Amino acid sequence: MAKKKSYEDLIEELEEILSKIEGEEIAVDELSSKVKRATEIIKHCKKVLSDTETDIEDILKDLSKNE
Amino acid sequence: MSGDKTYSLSELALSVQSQLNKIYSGAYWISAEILKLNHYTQSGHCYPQLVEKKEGKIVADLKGFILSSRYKALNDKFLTVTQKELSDGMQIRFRCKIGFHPVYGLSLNILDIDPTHTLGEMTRLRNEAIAKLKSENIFDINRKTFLPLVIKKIAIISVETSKGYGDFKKILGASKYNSLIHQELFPALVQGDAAVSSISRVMEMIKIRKDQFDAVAIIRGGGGETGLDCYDNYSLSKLICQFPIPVLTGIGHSSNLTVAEQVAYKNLTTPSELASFILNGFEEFEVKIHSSAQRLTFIRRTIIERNKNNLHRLEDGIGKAAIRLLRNEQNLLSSTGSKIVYVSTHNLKEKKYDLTKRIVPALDQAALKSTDGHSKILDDLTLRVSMGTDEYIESLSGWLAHSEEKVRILDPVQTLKRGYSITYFKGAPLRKTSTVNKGDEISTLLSKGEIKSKII
Repeated sequence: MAKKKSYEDLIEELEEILSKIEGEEIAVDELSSKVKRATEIIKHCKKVLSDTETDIEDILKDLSKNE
Repeated sequence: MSGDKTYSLSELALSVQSQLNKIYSGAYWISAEILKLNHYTQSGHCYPQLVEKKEGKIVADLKGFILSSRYKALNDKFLTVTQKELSDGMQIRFRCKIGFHPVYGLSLNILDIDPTHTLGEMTRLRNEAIAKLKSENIFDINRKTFLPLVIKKIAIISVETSKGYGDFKKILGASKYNSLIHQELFPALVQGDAAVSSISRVMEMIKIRKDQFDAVAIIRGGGGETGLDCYDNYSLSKLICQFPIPVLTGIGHSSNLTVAEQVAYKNLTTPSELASFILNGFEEFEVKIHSSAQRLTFIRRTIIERNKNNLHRLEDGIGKAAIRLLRNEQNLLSSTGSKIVYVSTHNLKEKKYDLTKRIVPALDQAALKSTDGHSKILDDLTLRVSMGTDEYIESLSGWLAHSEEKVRILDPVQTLKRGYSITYFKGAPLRKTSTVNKGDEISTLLSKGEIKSKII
């Protein structure tokens, strides 16, 4: 997984893959590799979202503890 | 000299007393400043030192006397009207009789005091202080200093044992925020004449440590309405104006606002209100924190949810699109396959038909007619060649004859024969009369012979 890319960049890449598959601009030979790449990105993005959510919850919990 | 009469001191004194009593028999209204009140609590009598100043210099200085019982009545009346007790430095208007005592000397026996005069004087001084601070453009500058919402470090100017400070500490102490508030007391007199210098001194101490405090609180309470004129003092008020950190006042009174209270960053009527003001800042901050936390929760929900949904849409979309693409490819593949089979079969059938129904019979026929056909074609060709040659020669002869005739007709000799002539001028055929002038010679060529002539 390309760690350097931001969440937004990855979403953009996903949109591009979707658009190409929808527009049938992808050759059948490439299809499985593109879907594989998309799956990897989705997994990564889900993890980013879940981690962020946990972080925010922790911060908020921390805040209420200090009150 | 030795013959002159000598009087005893008492004789002189009694004489002066007698003369004064004669001359100053009535009572008089006098205006003066109490330089020193000299009230003796034990006896209750009061011996004010009365002066008149001009440009800061004493120009008259007389002793006054107020009898114990009268002093109490006058002071009460004075207090009711001016909210102040008689004190040092006060400008008063009083009614007195002039008395002279052989032992105690000249004194003014005060019978009455007009408090409204002092009140007017106090107002005048207060207004003067305000006008001066405004003209110096410093009246409201303390209000322009920064006061944090949460005041955590306070320098307190008060009397440790005063009721006002006690109330202040009690309210803060009962608060859940108390442990967060750092208080440091700078003991000072907070009422009466000595308060100006006392407060000024501690304020100078606080100024040196200004970075250690968020604000200064001047706290006074339980002292009633008296002793407040120090807060109308110009120099103390100026110090408050120019103080580098906010000055809060809670000096507990209900009369008109003093100058110090007007120039302070914030004036609270009582020390208790000042404590509540500080606590309100904490509460307000807490509300803000809660609201921020709620907003954070909202942001978490909306942003994370929106991204989750988007991701889900992409996941779903890519999967479906990939399957659709594959199906399309499969359909295309199967339809191409069917087409190939159909076209191949159809072509085969056509070829087969062509072979059996057309080509084979044609070949058969051709094979049968082969010999006859060839000889007939040869005959045809021979005939066509011979016929063509004759026609060609004929057409050529015709053309030649026509051409000869055309050449013949165009020859000028033939034209002359028909009676036409050609006139030459300077060797060239003459076409226009304008070419020749009078006297020019011309020659005319006829079919047979030539005529020379001259233009006349």
